[in-house]
Amino acid sequence: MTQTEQEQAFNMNEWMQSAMNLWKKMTTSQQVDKDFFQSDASFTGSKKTDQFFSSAMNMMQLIMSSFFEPDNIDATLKKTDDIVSASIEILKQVTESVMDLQTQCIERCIRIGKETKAYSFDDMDREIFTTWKNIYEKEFQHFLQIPTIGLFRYYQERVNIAVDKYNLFSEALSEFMFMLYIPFEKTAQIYQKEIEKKLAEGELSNNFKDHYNQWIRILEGHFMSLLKSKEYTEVLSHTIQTYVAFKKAKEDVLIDILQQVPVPTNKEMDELYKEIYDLKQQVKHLAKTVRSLSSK
Amino acid sequence: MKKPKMDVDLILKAVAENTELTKVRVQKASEVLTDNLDVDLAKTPYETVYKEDRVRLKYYRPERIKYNYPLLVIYALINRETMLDLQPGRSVVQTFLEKGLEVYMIDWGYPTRKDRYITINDHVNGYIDNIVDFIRDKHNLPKINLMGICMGGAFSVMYSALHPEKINALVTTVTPTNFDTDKGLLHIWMKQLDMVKMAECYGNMPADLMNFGFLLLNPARLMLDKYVSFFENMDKKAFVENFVRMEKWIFDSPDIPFETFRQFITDCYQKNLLIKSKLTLDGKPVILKNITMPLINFFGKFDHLVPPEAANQLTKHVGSSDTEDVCLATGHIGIYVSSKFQKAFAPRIASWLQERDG
Repeated sequence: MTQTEQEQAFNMNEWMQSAMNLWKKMTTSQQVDKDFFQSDASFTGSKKTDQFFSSAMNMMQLIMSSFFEPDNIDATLKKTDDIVSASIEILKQVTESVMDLQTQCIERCIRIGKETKAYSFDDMDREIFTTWKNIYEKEFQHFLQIPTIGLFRYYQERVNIAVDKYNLFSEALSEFMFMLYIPFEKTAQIYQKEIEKKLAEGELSNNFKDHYNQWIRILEGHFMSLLKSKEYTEVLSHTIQTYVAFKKAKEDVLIDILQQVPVPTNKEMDELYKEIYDLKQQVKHLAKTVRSLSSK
Repeated sequence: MKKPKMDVDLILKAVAENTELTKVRVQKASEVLTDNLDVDLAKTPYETVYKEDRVRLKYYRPERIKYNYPLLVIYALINRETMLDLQPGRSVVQTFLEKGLEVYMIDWGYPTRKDRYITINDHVNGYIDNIVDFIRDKHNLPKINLMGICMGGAFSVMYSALHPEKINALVTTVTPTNFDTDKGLLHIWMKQLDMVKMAECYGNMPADLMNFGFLLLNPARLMLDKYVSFFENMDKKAFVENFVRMEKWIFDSPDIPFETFRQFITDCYQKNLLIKSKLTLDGKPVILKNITMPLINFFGKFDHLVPPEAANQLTKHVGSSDTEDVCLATGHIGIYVSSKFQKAFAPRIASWLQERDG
């Protein structure tokens, strides 16, 4: 480049210098008059807001002035590339994570699908509850068992435990209710066969009461068989255990909530009752001793 | 092949007739249900003569006293003692009073969470012992007669073993003393289900849960057939009154104090310590051989809560030579409320006590 060309070439520094001066003049012209606050006039509507606006303008003027200093401009322009690169990198990471999560969800669904055969109801009676329980424990339960952090970690933990126990209890209760339904299903099947047999023999009664009595007798028999069975006792035991666990977890959460309300909790009252009970026992024992001594 | 013939016209005719009958029945039933119904329980007059915490002692006085020893009746902690005075004509208390027997009956009240630490020992060596001493002092007697029902019978057995000098004669009715049997569903469930944990999380054993458990013993009859029968007979006033009375009694259940429940399940149902004379109350052993007073033991052949195997072992383990087992062909509650057994039960007890009245 010739000297003339160099002289005619766009001088960035001078341009920035003049731009800076322009901004300085603009910000200075916007600077609030020192005497402004002595008058009754208000720029924003209230004196306090005016003060805030004035501080903000002065701060902006300071930043703008230093920003447009030639040395600072150079550094900023150099760093702009870095900022853009960093933003692109962050976006890339986020997108990759979202895609990963999506992939995991799809894999989870595939695993769930493998546990149950599509449109196969042959073994779905009690197995569905075992299957659901396995799916829940393998795929969902660990989300509720993620360690909690922070100031309110214990409260969050107790809520997570309560939700987990509720899910387990729901499964157990559903299975128990299903168990109670089984005698109805079996009774319907057997009763239907009885009806067909009587119909074939021409002995079908027209009296509703006879049909009802027969139906209830069959139902009672099936219930007796069910109630004495080992499977029923196991399901009942499991239901009770999960219910007790859920109730305890629920009460822990309720106690946390009750801390905000000026009422004593069951736990606090139990401690009081125990003390009262022990004191009463001592008093009764002493009263008995005194009575026996005074009778002598 | 000949197709089976279904008399559709007859069926339809029957349905039409039944619908007409149902309509008439419902109309009559609405009159009955909105009428003044006599559904009160325990109408025999009594006086409350003793109070301790939630426990009350009722005293029933006969018109003429014909016995030297009064009778203290100890009901179970499950359901209420009002069953012994259900209605005129079906009242064990009334029968005793007609025979001239003074009757005391313990009202255990309605335990609250405050009572959760009360133990079997507190019931037996606390409340019952204090009440026995009260009656003895009041009548100036060294001994009284004792009658226990179900769990109250178990308490009576424990008390008689620990304080035989205070009891003249012991009557046990539908009393479980041997829990080593699988004949009753309750015995199976109490061994295999963790009911103690359930009671612990509630504070006491809730009555509603117990009621639900009892209904589950025979859901077909107790949850379905019973109410079908009610709907079929709800146009009959006497039936409705009896039914409602029983419903009032059956669902009037107090909670059971947790510590009492825990020990009863653990030491009796699970370890069967009572019949083995290994049960201890406050460190004191309950030795059945110490029961040396006359004993009559009633149980029901069709009792699904306390099967005969659970009740009929007691007389073999006591030290008394004057013992008798009486098996009645009825269930757990039928012994007291069935009209058929009104003559077989309470009068039998009254005459048995009369023979041992000193």
